[in-house]
Amino acid sequence: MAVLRMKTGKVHDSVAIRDLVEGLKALFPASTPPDGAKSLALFDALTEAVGNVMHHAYPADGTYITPHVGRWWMTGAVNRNAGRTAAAVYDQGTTIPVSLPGWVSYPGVRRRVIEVCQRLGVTDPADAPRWDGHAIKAAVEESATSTGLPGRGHGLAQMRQFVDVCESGRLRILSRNGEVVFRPNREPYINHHGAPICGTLVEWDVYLR
Amino acid sequence: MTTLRVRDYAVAPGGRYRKDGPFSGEEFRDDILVPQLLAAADRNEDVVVELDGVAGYGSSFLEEVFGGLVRRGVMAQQDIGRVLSVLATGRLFKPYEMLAQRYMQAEQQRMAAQV
Repeated sequence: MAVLRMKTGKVHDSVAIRDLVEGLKALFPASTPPDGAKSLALFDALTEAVGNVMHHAYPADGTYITPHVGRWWMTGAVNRNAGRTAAAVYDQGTTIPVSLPGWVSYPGVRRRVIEVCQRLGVTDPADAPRWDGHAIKAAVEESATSTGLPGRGHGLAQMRQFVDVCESGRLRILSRNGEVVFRPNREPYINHHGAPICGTLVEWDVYLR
Repeated sequence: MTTLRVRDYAVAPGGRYRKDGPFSGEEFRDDILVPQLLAAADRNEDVVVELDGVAGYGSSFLEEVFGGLVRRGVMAQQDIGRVLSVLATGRLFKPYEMLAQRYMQAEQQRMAAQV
């Protein structure tokens, strides 16, 4: 397993993203390079992940679990023999469940979470941390129906699409107390944790060949 | 005809807005595409935007360039359709060509619904 040096920044640094993707591609044996379409899709997914940090993670009036430095961090790794590739983006921001009310598509997200609460016969508020996994899942699914207009969080859909392009592997999103794992052609796995991750971690684990 | 190759301006297209960082969709649209479109329209010529040869495109970049072009209203919609073509020559970049066209159509429909 070869791991790339962590990159970090405060702006949308597409050159750093390109360099990360190129660094991952360079770790593959020359005889079995990664697939071109999948490599492009990885850049697209990382671009949207960093874009979400820029637009949603650090609002001036946001509430934060811990002090933050307003940055994103990004790294990746390749298992050369298996061709398996991991890439991750982390921020210390206000988290997806907390920022959702500011999204244009929030009413749809909230409706989906309330439906889950009602199905389970639970009367918790829909924005309680124990529903964070459901809120993240709903945000990704709602974003897939949006047109890509500003403020609609359309990037979440593109982050998930990358896993579908790869036809295998997974996208895992941890944000505040919630966790969701998306795999192609499978129902998402939803979980919540007793302690928050103090930000958002987006992680892909895919086969790029 | 004027051909704008995105790769000549940004080998790694960035985010949506100029404030996000360099090589944003807003920057490409306002600094590169719109002036060329207006000049071409004056000369009664076409502009082709060629998408190939970059690291990829986030949907935010493409939406802000092409959906935003319609949204900004710098030209009449029918003039945009007459003057501008979006093109990807390579197989890998064809999906982006379709996305760019879809974003323009979606914005035209959204604005038509508001009238």
